[in-house]
Amino acid sequence: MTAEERAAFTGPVAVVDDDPSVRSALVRLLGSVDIRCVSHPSGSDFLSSPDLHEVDCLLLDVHMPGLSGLEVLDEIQHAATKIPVVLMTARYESDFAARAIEAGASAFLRKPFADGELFAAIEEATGSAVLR
Amino acid sequence: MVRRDPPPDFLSSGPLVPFETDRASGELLWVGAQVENLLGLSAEEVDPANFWSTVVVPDDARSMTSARARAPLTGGGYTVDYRVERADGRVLWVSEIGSALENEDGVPVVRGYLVDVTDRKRQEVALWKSEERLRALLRHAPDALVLTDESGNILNLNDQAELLIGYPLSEVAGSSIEHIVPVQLRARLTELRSAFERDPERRTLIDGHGFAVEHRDGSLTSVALSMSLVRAPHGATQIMHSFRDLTAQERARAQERIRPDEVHRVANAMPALVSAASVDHRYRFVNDAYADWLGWERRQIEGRSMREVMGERLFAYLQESIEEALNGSAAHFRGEMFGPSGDSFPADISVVPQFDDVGHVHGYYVVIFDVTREVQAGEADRRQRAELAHVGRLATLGELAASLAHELNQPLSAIVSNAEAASRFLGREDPDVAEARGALMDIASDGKRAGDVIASMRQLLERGEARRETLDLGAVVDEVFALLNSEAISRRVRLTQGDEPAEAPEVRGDAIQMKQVLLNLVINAIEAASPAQGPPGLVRVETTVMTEHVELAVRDDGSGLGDRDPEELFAPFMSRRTGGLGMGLAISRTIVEAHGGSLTAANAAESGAVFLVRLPRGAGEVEELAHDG
Repeated sequence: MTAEERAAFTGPVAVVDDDPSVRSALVRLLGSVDIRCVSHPSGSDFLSSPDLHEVDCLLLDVHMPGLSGLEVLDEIQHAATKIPVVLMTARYESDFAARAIEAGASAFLRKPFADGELFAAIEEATGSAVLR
Repeated sequence: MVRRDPPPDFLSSGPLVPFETDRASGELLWVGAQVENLLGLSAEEVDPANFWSTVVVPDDARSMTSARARAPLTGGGYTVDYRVERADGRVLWVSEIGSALENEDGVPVVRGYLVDVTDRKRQEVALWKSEERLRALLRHAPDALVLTDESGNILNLNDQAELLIGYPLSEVAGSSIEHIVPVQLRARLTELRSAFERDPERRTLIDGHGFAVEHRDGSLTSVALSMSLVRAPHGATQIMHSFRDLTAQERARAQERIRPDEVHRVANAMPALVSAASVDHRYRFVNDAYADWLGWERRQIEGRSMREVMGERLFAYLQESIEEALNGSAAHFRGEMFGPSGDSFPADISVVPQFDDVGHVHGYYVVIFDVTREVQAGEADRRQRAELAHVGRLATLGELAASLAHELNQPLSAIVSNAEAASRFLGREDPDVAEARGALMDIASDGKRAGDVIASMRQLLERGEARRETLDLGAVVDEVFALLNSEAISRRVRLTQGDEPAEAPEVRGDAIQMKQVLLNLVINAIEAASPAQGPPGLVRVETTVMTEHVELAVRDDGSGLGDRDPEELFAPFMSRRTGGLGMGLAISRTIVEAHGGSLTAANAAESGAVFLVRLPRGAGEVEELAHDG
């Protein structure tokens, strides 16, 4: 079965990052492969929005003012509907992968990452194919 | 024929006070009415039983009673002096002239007169005191004094004379003074004395070389001799010989005087270029170093014109100071000196007027100290400090590596994603140029953002000359906050700034070093404020512009400094942080102080700590603090 033959993943995906450049770049990149996106500048903003119940995947930055990515992830673990989460970090942290998985993330990314890595992470998190 | 009966009032008037007293009991049996004149109390007021003990001064009572007691043993007559106190408190000396006998009733008594001898006594005391003083003067006189009779027989010596001849008075008393001078000079001494006796006005007889006194051990002392006449009691004439030790004087004089060759030796020993010139700028003297410096022989230089020897250029350099010296005041300055060969060195230069005996300037000295080594040491010191500051910045950046990577990775991540997005938009069958352009615009701005982070880091890694520029502390705070943004986020601390001050917080100094100081203080504050859990910590930087200072307060809401002395924090290798080298605060204080400011720490009133940087406002001079040479 080819990628075209599979049910292509079209979102929606929520991008939560305090850095506006990163947010808009990710939204643009996902848009280029026809994945719909919403974005939020902080974890609390996302958790209090209806998007919490509507998105199929969450791209979540770890280091943010206010609630950190791990705290947001913790909230989501306790929510009724479990969204698959891809954790992202821009810091060098040796134990990042282990902490991400332990916290319940489906996949993780170290910034900067190539589009292939991003799509692979989303595919792993959602179980659906990304149409490249 | 002598009249035997006294005049009728003899016993009751006049200065003598007749009395009779019981020798055994001491009771006064009778007393003349004159007692009132002497003691100020009438015969009726006298208490006979206690008369003597009342009027005689207690210290003298004993000599009075013992004189009376002894009288019968020595034929009855006696005289004794003692003091009495008058009714008005005045103390008088009286002389008691009495005799011991039995009176008409067969009672052993003393009968006699009291007479006021106060004036005589006073003179005696004064005389005694002046004699005492004279004796002391002679004894301690610096000259050796020998008193002889007219024929030169020794009567007395003072201490100096005993030292000079080596004999005590007891061994030479009575012998001829000629014995204290060497044999060949004895006749001369006798001659001198006869000459003196003929003309006592010429008192100084020998003043200079050629006369000496012989010591007991045979050694000779060169002396000056003078004589003076002393009129002794009973009309005898005595002669005081005064010997002054010339050797000591000569020695002292020789020590006071500095010979010209000594001056030259001293000048040559000095690690300086020394020259003396006349008012018409001719060299009077130069030391060896000076001659070497100019590459001339000393003898060639002395007497020549300064202009000619040192050259017009050097002379012109010194001229202003030389004129100052010729006007009577010394000039000192630090400058650059150069020899005829053109080599130059930093030097401390003094041009000092030279005065003659009446205070006129009759030349000047030029003294040049080569301070190359001092200047080099200063530079080495500055380099070392700058090196330390640089190492401190490297350490700080090392600690911040993770956070700085975050600051770079965010724009890089956006750039990569945008580039790939743009590539896709353009690769579509129907290329979406507008989206691609948007992506490219964002790439450009994120690229610049990443560049700024790199520049900011590179600046901190840089070594270079310290700059002295006017810098806005507000801008420094902004830059530091930008660098520490991600550090603060990862440690869950909020960075805030106080209200912008009405006037720009401008100081003069080195922006990089100021940034380093603030970076250190804010990193420390973030670490202190970072909460283990619960609400985020707070770090606040407040800038206040005061009359003469700009004050920058870095506050955190951590647990504060506790009871420890805040000064301890500024010692090297003292760290409040776990990761730090412990050099940050020590280096920061060094930097702030080099900027003429101060850095202190204290517990904040509410909670946490506050670090206070005070810097002089505006255009203050900054001590040279090179990053590196």
